[in-house]
Amino acid sequence: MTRAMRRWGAGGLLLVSLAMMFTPAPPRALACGAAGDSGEQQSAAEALRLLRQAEEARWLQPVFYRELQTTILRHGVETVARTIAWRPPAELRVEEDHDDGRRIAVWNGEERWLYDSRSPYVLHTEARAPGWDQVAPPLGFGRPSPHGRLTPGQWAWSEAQGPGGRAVYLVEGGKPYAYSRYWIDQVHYFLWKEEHYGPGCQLVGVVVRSDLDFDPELAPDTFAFEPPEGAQVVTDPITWRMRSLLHALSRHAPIAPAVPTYVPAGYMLAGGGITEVDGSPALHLRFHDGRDLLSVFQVLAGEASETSPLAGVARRVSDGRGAEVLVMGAVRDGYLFLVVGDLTQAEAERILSNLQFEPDF
Amino acid sequence: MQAVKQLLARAPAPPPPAGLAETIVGHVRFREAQRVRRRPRVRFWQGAVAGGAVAAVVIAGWLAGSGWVARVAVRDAAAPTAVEEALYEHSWYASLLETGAGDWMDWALVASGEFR
Repeated sequence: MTRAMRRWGAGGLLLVSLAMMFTPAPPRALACGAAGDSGEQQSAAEALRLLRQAEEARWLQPVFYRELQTTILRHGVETVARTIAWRPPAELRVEEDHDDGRRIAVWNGEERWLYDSRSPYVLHTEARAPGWDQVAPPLGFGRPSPHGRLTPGQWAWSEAQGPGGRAVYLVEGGKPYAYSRYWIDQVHYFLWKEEHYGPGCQLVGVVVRSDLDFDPELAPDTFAFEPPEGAQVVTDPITWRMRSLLHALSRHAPIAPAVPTYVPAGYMLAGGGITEVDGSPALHLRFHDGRDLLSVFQVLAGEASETSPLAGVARRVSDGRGAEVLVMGAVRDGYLFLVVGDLTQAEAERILSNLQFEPDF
Repeated sequence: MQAVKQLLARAPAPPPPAGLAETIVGHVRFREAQRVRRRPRVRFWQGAVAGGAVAAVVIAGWLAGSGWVARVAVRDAAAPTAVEEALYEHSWYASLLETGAGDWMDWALVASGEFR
């Protein structure tokens, strides 16, 4: 062997080395930025303080701004343009332009309206309605804040130049599968830009804000709303949500939606949409309990039958985000249903056996 | 003709030119030295060809292996089965919610006072 290496080793090594140089490195599960390497608890605590301050500062005084949100989804990119007007303590107007419609939310001290031009339903909530006080604007607006659940050691901050050349604090951190960067103004802590990364450090969303005005001249009717003619006013949020969702979905896929009448305690319907599973159109209903996501897929599969190999399948698998989830399948009325979430098998079976077609919303 | 041949055969052979043997020996030594000089270069290229073949096999194996990994990995966008695609979609939305990239995606639910 030594003799062979001495005789032919030089050429062989050269070629193997060259090959290794040009061979792509295998994927590694690393943090998406340098924040995880800092390890400075003090710096991390300061980073989280900056984030909290940015969140609070945005809603301390009357404000108007615009934002452009780009979300990279599995089957395309979604861009939403918003204008936001806010006057403490509880007046809000958000207008949100989508490719195929507009969504408007108006809050004032007496009532809250929510209208989506893609469905003929308007949600109307009055001040004395149950749950009114549960939403204390602006806290809780948006997602359930994850900041309290993050480990300080995973965050870091630095000074940088932000959009428009402004001096900003760049705060970044998270986990390898959920990593974020925030550009926070050094003067008034306004959050100018956000970048979010998902599994594999892939970019999943960008938010850029502009036209900031801390002393806006708001028209008197900014926080008033009149339902459009022909729209049906609904007072129950669940009914409104289900009707809007099913109405929107019915335009996009030939699926008779089925809604589970049972989900584990704490889970609420958080959204839904049309997607594609294994080449077939599918309805994806998303439930959230403030911490975990529960998905119910309804796949329009022509060949789906009681003999489908996925009927009755129950697998506990890694979700690629450091957790294990249960995937359970069943076939009902010619549709393949898949439940994905941090559930027990009994809970998943109960969801699948309580699917209601033609829900009465 | 036969007689002439016999006469010539009986005549003594002329002596070889001076230094012929040394010339032949020198030529053989030169060729041998040349072969020895070339040997490392030849072996280098023999090794290169063999190394290239090994590298090609290694890369093919790596690519085949990574392809298999990708097929079973949850993050693969072209996951071949319904379970893997559903799992991928689920994880993607979970990340959107966790990072806040989906901050506004379902904001209407917050505005309705129901989504906590």
